[in-house]
Amino acid sequence: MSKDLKEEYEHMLDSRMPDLWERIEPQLHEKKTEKKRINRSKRIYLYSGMAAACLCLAIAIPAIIRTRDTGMKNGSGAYMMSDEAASAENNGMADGAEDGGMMGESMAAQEDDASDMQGINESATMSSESVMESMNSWEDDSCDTAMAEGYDASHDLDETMNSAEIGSSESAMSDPEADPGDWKEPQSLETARLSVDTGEELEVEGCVLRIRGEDAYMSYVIAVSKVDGQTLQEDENRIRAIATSSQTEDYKKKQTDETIHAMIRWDEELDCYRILEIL
Amino acid sequence: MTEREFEKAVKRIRNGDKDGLKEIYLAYGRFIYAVIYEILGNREDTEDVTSEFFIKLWDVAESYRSGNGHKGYLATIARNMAIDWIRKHRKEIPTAPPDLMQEETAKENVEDVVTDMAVQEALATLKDGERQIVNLKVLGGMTFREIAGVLQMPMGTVTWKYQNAINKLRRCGYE
Repeated sequence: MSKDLKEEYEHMLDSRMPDLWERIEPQLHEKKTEKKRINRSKRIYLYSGMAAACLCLAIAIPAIIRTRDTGMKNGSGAYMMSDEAASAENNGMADGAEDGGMMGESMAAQEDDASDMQGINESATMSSESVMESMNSWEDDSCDTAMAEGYDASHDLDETMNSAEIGSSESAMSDPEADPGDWKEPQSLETARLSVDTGEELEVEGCVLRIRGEDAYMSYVIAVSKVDGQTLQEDENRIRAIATSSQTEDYKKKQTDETIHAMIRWDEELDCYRILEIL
Repeated sequence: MTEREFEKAVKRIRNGDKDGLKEIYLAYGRFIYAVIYEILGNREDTEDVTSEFFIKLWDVAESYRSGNGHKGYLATIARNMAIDWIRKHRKEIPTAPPDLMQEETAKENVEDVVTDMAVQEALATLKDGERQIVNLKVLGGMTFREIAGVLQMPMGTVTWKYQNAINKLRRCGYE
C-alpha cells in the first residue's frame, strides 16, 4: 500500500512540479572555498601573534634595560664581578705557581680583567651614590612625615619593603646623611650576615628600610637560612637562638621557611647585624 | 539519500560546489515542495519558497550539524520558511485541501491524469495534520520521532494520526 501511494504521489508531484533548478542556480552566489578561509584565519593568527610579540618586546626591553641599570647602580653586579675577578686572579696565580710556563700570559690576562672589574666597580659605586642620595631623601621625607603625624611607620615599611631597594654597603658607608655612630646601612637584596644574641652568625636575605627616629632600629624582612642556602628547620638551635624575643612562641608556630620581620642593629664588635627582636 | 551522502553533499556545498546542492535538490526537491505546498496551498508561492529554500540552504549549509537527521533538518527549515512567507504576505494557513490537483495542467497521458486524480482524491480525504504526516512519512521517509520533532507534537499523536490516515487511504484502494 505504502509503496503504491509513494510511487503515485511522487509521480504526481513530478508532473506538477516544474524544474526549479534553473531558477535556483543563477541565484547562488559564489562561495569562498574553505581553503581560502583557512588561509585567511591563519593569516589573522599570524598577524595577531606578531603584534603580540612586538607588544611584549616593547614592554620587556625597557624593563630589562631599567633592571640592568638598577642592578649596576646598587652595586650588586659590580660586587659579583669583582668577586669573580678576584677568584679568577687567585686561580690564575695558583695555576701559575704550578705551571711556570703559563704564568706570564695568565697573570697578564687576569690583571687586565681585574683592572676592568675595578673600573666597573668604581663606576657602579659612583652611580649607586647618586641613587642612595635620592633614596635617602625619599626616606627622610616619608619617615619624617610619618613620625610627625604619630604614625607607626613600620607598617608602611612592611608593605613597601619588597619594592624598595637600598644601595650596597659601600654606598651606605659613604652616605653623608646616614646616621652616625653604630648605624650602618644594611646590605639590601644581597645576603647579609646577621648575628643573634648568642653570637652565632646567620645568613639572611631580604630588603631593608631604615627607620629614622629616636629608637632608630631597623625593620627587616628576612628569610632565615643556613649558610649553604637551606632553610633552617624548627628544631635547629639557630632558630631557638634567634627566637629570644618576647614573641618567641609566635615565631615557633610559623613555618621556618617563611620570611620574618625583625629589628636589627649593626654591631661594631661583631662586625655584622644583630637581631634585636623578632617582630 | 543516506545521512553520509547528505553530509558529503553539504561538504561540497561548503566548498562552493553547486553540484552538491543539486544532488540534494534532486533527492529532496519533491519532498520540500510537498511540505511547503501543504502549508501554502498555492503553486506559485510554493515554487518561490522552494527556490528560496535551496538558495538559503546554499548559505546555511555550513551550520548543519550531523547526527540529528538531515530530513528533519530540511523539513523544519522548509516549514519555517513557508510559515514566514505567510506572515509576510499576511495570508492565513489554508484550512481547505490544497488545490494541487485542481489546477489545470496539460496532460498528454490519460493514465497519468487518472492516476493523479486518484491520488488527489485519496489525499483529499485526509485532514491537514494527517496529510502533513503522510507527506513527511511517505515522501521524506522520516521516522515518527523525526516527524514529531518537526511538527512539534507528541510522538503518540503522530502515530495515531498516521494510522487514521492509512485507514482512510486503504478505503481509497491504496493497500
